[in-house]
Amino acid sequence: MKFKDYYASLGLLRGASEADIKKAYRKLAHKYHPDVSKEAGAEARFKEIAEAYQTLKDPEKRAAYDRLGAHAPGEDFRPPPDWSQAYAGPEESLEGLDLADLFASLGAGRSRGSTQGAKLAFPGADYELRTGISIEQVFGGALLELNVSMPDHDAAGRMVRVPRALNVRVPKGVTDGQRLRLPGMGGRGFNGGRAGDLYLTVTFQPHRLYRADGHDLYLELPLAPWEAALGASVAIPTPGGTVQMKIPTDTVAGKSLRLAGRGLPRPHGVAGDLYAVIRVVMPPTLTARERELLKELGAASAFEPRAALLQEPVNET
Amino acid sequence: MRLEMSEMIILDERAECSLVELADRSRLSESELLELIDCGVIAPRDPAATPQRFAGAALTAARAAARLRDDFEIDLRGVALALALLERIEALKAELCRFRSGDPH
Repeated sequence: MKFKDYYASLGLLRGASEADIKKAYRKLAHKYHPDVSKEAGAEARFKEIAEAYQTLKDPEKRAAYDRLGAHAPGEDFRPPPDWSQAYAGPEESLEGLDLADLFASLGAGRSRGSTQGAKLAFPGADYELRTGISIEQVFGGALLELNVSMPDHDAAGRMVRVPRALNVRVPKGVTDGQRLRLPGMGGRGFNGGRAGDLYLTVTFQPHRLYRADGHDLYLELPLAPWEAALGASVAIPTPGGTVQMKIPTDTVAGKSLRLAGRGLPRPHGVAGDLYAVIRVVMPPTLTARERELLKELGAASAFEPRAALLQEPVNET
Repeated sequence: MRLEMSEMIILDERAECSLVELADRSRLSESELLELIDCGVIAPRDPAATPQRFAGAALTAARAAARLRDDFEIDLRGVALALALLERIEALKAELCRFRSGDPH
């Protein structure tokens, strides 16, 4: 069994008081709870903190944990024989078990024992999962294979990790941060209780070209100054393929041009739109002829791009 | 390891459920849900309709409420305040993202 240092997870020493444990947990939970923090790695860190707290806040579990002694985190260790007998039963092997599952079984055994054998139906646990998908996968309704290690119960009622492979098709209409429910794909129920559900949150991977806002997509479209001024027909990429877009004359930088129905599909009805956000760019190097033409333009134009900067402020009285 | 195919339900406007189903799926009691409805954190699709029906967003909010209640050991009024502030933060982040990318809306 791999050792986990629950005290270190909470930033505490072994002799910490109950109040210290609660205080440390609350402080860390405020920082790393997945509903509060969207930082990368926060969810995994919170799981570690919550696992440590679930054991250390319960005096019986904490005493059992303390009897395991101190080991290095991740170190393979064997619990003392009397510990196994007291907490896992004489017949049961602790090999291959996760420490968290073992302590969860300890609590579950106690609560099941309190029902004095009554066959109460309990629903299976729900699980939360996150997965990143590309805009192309959303557009094409890709088939995802999700490999999850799910806590479950074996025939003896002991917590075990069960590897599961789920094949799910990205449903039409998914947006960034969308939550999905997979009914019955969570943990198994007890005594006829229903199976839990799996909740999947899909987040869009950053895309080289597009930014998604709901079902609409935004694409930065570079134009040469003469294309913006004189109008043009330009080829632009969309998730469904390249399309020609007409740039009207006198298009200014920052303007958004809409391509209706070229965004992401909606579950029902028309797809979202694609917005091309105009950016006017200069050639990185100019030929002699281009330079000559620009000089000519400069001489002929009365355009003052900094007029607003040079205006005297108007005194409001 | 067996490959399992699964049905997937998008928790959007069309994923409708009753108060009883909402309680069952969120692991909150019906009275807790009614308190969150009173606080305005969870809204029925049509407040005037009986029985009340809820969209997917209500299930997302109710599950978050259950997590906050359990993980932070706070009462429902604290949960309601936390959810309202988290929603506000999300809206501001989306606005900031749009502002930074120079989009007009």
